[in-house]
Amino acid sequence: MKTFYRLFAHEFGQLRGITLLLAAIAMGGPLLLLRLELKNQGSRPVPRYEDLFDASGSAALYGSLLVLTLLSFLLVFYSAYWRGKSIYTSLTLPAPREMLYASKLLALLTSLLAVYSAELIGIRLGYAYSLDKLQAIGVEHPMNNGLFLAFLRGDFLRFLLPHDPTRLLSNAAILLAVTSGILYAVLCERSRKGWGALPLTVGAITILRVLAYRLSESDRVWELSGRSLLGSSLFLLALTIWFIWRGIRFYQRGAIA
Amino acid sequence: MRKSPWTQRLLRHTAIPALLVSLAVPGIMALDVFRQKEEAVVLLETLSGNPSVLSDVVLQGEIADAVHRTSFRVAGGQVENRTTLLRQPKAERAYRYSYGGRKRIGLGDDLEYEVGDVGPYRIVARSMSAPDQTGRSASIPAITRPVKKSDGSESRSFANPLEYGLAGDGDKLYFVEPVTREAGGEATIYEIGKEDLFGQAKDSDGAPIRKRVSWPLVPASVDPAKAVDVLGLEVVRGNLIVILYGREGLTLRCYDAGSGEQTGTVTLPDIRIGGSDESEPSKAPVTTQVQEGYRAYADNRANSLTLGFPRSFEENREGWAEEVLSFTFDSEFRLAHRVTVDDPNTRESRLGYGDATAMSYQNGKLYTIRSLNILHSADQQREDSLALPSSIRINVYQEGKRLYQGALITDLNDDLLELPDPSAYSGGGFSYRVERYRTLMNASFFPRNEEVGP
Repeated sequence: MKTFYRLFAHEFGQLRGITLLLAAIAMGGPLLLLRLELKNQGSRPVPRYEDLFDASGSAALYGSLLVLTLLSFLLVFYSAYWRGKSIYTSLTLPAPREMLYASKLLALLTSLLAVYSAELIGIRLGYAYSLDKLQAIGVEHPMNNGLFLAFLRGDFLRFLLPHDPTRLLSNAAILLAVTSGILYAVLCERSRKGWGALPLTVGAITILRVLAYRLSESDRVWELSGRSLLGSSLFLLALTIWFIWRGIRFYQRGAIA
Repeated sequence: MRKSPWTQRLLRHTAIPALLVSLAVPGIMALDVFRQKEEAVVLLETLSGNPSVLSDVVLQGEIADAVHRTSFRVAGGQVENRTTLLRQPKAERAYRYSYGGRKRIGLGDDLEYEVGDVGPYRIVARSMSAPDQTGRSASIPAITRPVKKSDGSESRSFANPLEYGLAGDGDKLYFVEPVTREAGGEATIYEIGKEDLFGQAKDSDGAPIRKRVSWPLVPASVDPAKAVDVLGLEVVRGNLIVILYGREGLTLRCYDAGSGEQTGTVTLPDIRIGGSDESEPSKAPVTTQVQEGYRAYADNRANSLTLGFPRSFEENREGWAEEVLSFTFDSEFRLAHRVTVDDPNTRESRLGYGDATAMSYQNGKLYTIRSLNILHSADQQREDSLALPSSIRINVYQEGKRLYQGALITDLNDDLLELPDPSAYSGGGFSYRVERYRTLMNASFFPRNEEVGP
């Protein structure tokens, strides 16, 4: 256990700096963007926070930050090969190989969750800020329960913080599939296994389709039956298990050197 | 920059705390945000009268959009509300009868009805949650004779949309042709079992129909004094009420659905429907001009029927006015209450798909709830606009006088905040979206002892 703790601490340590930076942008970015947007809207601003948030570009910023987190992981991963060749050292460590794998996976997951949490805090701060700003402009009676309504009505905000169990499961499945999938992708690349592109493509298409659906739910209010998304979530979880299982095999064979 | 050994040692242990914090933040945020669903506002403000007159009834309804709904309940001076969140945005298909549209019978029923063809007719029922599920009745013969035109062609003319001739009561539907006074022949009320509409074999003719009541029609060309328009049909607890209009004024005839016997008649000679043939002046000294497109509120629990006839615009009056007639069936069929509901400088709220109005006559009082736009002088220029703040008004009338008026204060108008300055708003460019604007839906009054949960 102690070995794993140290490995995890080491792997996260490599991501810590960039994660902190991205988290700071997630918390502060909307404040700046909302300020610009409110200035732009002049004396009769849109008082709905979900509209303000989207219009200010904060939603786009948040999507980009999560992608940047993944990119920074790739950077850290490949630097072990390109710069110090530390991958050879790590493979000779007296630790079970699956622990090496698990520590990397958990470090990436932690990094993603940290940026995501910072985004939620940023939404909260942005709400308080725009409420203040709206009152300063002269909107005397802001929307009662505005943050709550924004999380219900805004497609992007509802995606970030769903209130429904099926959507929570969908979020968890996407997060796990992305995390394990990225790691699987680089391991395939390192061990020259081209066929790994197939499950990755299927996974990516599934995730994109779920995202496209969930980010347009409010345009689908007249559709008769909503989707539970249970099928896609279970499929992504199954794919996650496959990614992890294959990933551990790569490590055990030492095929990634 | 070199880090001190202490900092380095501390940094070595950030991984687990980072993971724990990152897991806790979303949980805390979710609890904090969704706890706010308890903070919806529903309050009853008394504008005039004593609120104790509401104590005999329970008022229930919803303030809803496509993502959440706040059910409220006004009982014994207490206002309670409870908010539920929808899994994903979904348009609420609330009850509203729109003139000429498909008809829904009763609150909470999944079916909507349409009368197909123009004689012979066919009742088509459609499930709102599964539109591919449709049921239909057998062909209903048009017994009334079509009117011969001068060019030799024949046509039927109707006093109201065909759906006015359709009414329902529990598991049965009834239909009568809403023909004008030009028609002759025999008017007939047919009965159709609601269950029979569905599950018929593909090649079958549809749900069987049964004749219940028939009476002869005298065409206006034969005897204009006896000719009547059939405006519509309503059902309350097995009482079939046919609404007729002729020279004698508005006449309601009540039949027993089981035996087909006529059990009562009420005639209101002073009620005149604009646009009808008025070659002979009414006998009544004072007349009330109304329009034929009435709204009916059949209350099976309270055993009463309330009809709201919009007052005629010919009088060039401002605001919304309705002649509201309430009938009871306890010992005999009779007009129990009549009142002119007249709210100057108001307009019925047009926002949303929900029925903003409910009326019920019980305990000797008429209870109404309506969603109104209060028109201020600044609003007059944008009277056609959908997006006016609405005021939910509760009125109680007794013996033709208003006993009580209250307003239900809710968050609903917050959704219109993006239009804060009426004078700057021209009326164009507003588009209603069900997921963005809350409306009053599914309002109804229950007798205090027979209430059902929200």
